[in-house]
Amino acid sequence: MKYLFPLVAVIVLARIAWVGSTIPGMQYVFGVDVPYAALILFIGGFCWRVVYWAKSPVPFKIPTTCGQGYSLPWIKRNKLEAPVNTTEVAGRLFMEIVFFRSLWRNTKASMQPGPVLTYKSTRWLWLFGILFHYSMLIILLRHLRLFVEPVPFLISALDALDGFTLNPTPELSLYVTDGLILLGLVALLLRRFLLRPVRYISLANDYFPLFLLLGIVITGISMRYFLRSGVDIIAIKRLLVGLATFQPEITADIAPIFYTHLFLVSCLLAYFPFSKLVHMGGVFMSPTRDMANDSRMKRHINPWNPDIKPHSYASYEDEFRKDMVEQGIPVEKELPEKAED
Amino acid sequence: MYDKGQTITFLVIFVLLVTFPIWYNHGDSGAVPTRDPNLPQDRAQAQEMVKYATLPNDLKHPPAEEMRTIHMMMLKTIHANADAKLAEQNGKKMPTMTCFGCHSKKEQFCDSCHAYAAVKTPDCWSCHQQ
Repeated sequence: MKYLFPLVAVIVLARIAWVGSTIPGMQYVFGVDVPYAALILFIGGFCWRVVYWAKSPVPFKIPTTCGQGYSLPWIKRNKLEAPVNTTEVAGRLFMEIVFFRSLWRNTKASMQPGPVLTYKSTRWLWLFGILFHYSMLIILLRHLRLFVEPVPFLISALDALDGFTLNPTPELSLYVTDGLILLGLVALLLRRFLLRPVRYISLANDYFPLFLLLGIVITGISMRYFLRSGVDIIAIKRLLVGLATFQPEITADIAPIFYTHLFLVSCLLAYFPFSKLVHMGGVFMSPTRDMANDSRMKRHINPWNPDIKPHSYASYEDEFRKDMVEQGIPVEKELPEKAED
Repeated sequence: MYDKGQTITFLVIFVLLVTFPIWYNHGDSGAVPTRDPNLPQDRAQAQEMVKYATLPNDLKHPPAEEMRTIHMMMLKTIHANADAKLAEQNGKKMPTMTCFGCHSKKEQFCDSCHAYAAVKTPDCWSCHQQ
């Protein structure tokens, strides 16, 4: 039932935008004010989050390693799994960010008759994760055609590469990533519904981003292929380029589905820095991932260590000698002889 | 803050990437395509003409605002309903499109908006007669 609240929340958000944008005068709020506010929250929140992380001290050297570390010269070491310098750390981070390497290594333990405990690799999460993330990236880049004028060649080329020709109107191409992102999101959602251990640990804030992204994808796909009526792409581009040049203008009546799509995207942007989605920045800031496994080469000093001066026995005795002599405790150096009057 | 230099560098790169449209456009929103200049300048007259526009299969030409958003759907319908025999005429060109009875110039009628929205330029003339 933990999915019910996020689902209702996304439906309510969509309804607010759908109904709200049909009220005269509210188009400007949903088309200009909300997106600007969301962008400020996104950039400001993201920077705040990263600076907050950067301010947190790391008391210990805590890289997670799962390969042979640097050792004696004849022992073959694993540079990616136990990196010892910045280059190797960068290599490991690159593999993680670009290929989701740690998900590729995912294994599932099961009990076979015998009984024998066996581990099999399961890469479904990797597959659907990578489908979703790369589709999302391509879709974001493709959307730039609506925000910049003139459109750079690379963006048009990406658009053309992504589009399947649909006859008899090849201009309205069928985007491959539209289907793939839907597949990825539905699979990631079903994973939380169907796998009992995952369902058990899934919280409302795990479901909410999935429903929100599904809402964005569904409104976007409907707007392109089905509910075209009122989706005046020229007026939309005029508005979005206007947003990017700080002279927004709404020149035509745009259908509520556009404002719903834009509002859900604004919600995603505003929600992003304050949720688990900020793993986009967090992957660079994880001590277990971005530290080198060099604790035996370089001394790591805990930044919050108090400044304790060394206190040797000799200086200790210097400090307390008088009391020690008085109490009859043996001392290494006697009190100085006092001149007898 | 620890690793100040690195963190700030990454944040600056991130903000620059996110705000790409802002500094790429640098305040210039560009020219927005205008209404087809080959139509009568008098809007009332144009709206009157729309009523008599002939489309295949007795389809009606909707008002301009509507046509702008759904013309691709209408073209699909027209093609789906087109006479199968016409499609079979190999080597022969399809008849001239009736659009160009009023919208005389393709550059000002199709291409200007398609270029602005970065949509492929229509090429109907691989099948249709010019």
